[in-house]
Amino acid sequence: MANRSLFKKKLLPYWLILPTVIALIIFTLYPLISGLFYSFTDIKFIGAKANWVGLDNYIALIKGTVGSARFFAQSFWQTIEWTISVVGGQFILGLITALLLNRDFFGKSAFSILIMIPWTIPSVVMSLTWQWLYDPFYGLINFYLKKWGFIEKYVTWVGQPNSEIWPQVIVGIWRGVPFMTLMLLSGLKAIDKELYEAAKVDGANTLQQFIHITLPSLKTIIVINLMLTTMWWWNSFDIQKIMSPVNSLGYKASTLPILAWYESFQWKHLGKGAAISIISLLVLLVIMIDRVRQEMRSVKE
Amino acid sequence: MMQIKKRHLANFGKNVFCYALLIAITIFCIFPIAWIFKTSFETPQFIRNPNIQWIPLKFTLENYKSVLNNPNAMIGKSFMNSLIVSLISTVISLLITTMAGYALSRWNFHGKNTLNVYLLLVNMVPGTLILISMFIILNKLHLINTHIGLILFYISTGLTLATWMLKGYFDSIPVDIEEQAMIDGADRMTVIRKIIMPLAAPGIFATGAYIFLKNWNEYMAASTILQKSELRTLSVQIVNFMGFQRVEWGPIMAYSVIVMIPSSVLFIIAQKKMVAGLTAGFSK
Repeated sequence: MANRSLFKKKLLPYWLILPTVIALIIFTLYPLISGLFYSFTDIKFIGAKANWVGLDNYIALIKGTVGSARFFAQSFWQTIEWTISVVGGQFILGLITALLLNRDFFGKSAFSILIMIPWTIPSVVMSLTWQWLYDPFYGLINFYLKKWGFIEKYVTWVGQPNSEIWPQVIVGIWRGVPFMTLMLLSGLKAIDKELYEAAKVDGANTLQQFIHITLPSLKTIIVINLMLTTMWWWNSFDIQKIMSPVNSLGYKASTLPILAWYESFQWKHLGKGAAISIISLLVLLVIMIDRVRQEMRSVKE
Repeated sequence: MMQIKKRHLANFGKNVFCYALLIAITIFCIFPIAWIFKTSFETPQFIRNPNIQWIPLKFTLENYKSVLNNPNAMIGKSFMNSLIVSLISTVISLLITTMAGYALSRWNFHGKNTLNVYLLLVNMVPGTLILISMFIILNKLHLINTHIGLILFYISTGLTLATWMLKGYFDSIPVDIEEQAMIDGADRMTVIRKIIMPLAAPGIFATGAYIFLKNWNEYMAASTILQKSELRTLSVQIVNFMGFQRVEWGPIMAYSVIVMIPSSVLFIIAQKKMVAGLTAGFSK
């Protein structure tokens, strides 16, 4: 399409992308590079002087000797655990929901709208609401778990320094199911129905159809989706921040973004906060590098 | 006969199973919302009822009144702050990314691949890293504790998604329409203004809605950059309000209802187009 004669104009496209490119440089590339610079300095708080300290911040974090650095390794593994379980949970539930919604049945549009709701509410409201659901005295979740015999007495699920991360994982899954569902559903709708008819004629059962037709047809959309959701949830902040205890040092369920934020803005070690973020970015990059490379290749084609 | 009956039965069983599964997932998705509404209409003593019931024992609007009158809630002020910041940052994002989306959709040019890959990679950069650098820069420019500072941050986070979605919408408009018009003698600017923009308008609106909601709901930067209560946006104000209230869940849930209704309505209106744009943008 882009090769057609009328679109061979030389300069217009460059003018059109110029504002975006300038904005990207000012608002993303420059902060990225200056953040990298600050991670090699001892800058403590806003307006303080930044002295070059080389790799000191990184070494301190990895050795785990000072301040919040003690909690770096813990947050690091927690981030991996958090991302895998949230994205995995969203994907499985989202795929099931999309498959269910891809059939014709009574009440389909009502279900579609209801299932979308977790996506529409502000993340702050969501986090507060789940905190109320997890309430240790009058919470809905404690009530039903006790009633159904899963717990003996009421549990304090979140908000304590030693709280586990998985109650928050459930919130993350809850949040992300609609987006996954909608994306996968749009992929399912694009699959040619005749493929299934042909498979039925050949005697393939539902499971075989799913494995040999549905999954391969969805491959692109699944890959892109998992890639983006992994990036987003790796860096997610709101749920963990709001559900964590205020000002708590060494919060057990914290992830790297939370640690970086506390380090920078609560404990006023901007340099170390930047170093945490840079390590977080590098690890994510390593996890993603294969996919990104393939993406680059497919873009070039 | 038997076989047909059997298949009917199997089909029936399958349908029941699917309905049951779907209903279970739907309940998982909406019970917290139902609980927000229920709590917001409940009187303080019954919120602390050790038994759970889904209909308020004594229906009351007390929580709403107390939130609207509470000086710590500052709903009106925060609402205006959110509106100003989200609206301005969305308009600026749209203005610059619409052009880029159109260019990416219609031309091959040097650096196009680099731009595409960069747009993908930017999603990996932790918000905290951008926030740290932006904070230092904003401080040098004396823009901490100003709405302009927050607007600048939101422009940075809106760029990638907006460009992607808009490219997706422009891709869905056939290039033939433009070619025909230009063969008929119209110049490009006229074509863009008279033909492309009207066709792309729903897509541009949906992108705007998505960016607007993202900014409207944003918490991390808003809570860091704006520290004065009269500047706070709704999402920060409600968390702050919760600090004042000390787990008085009735007013907090009433506040939540007030905060979430406008954004949910906008979301549901723009939803179909938004998803179309996201999928088109991502899968190419």
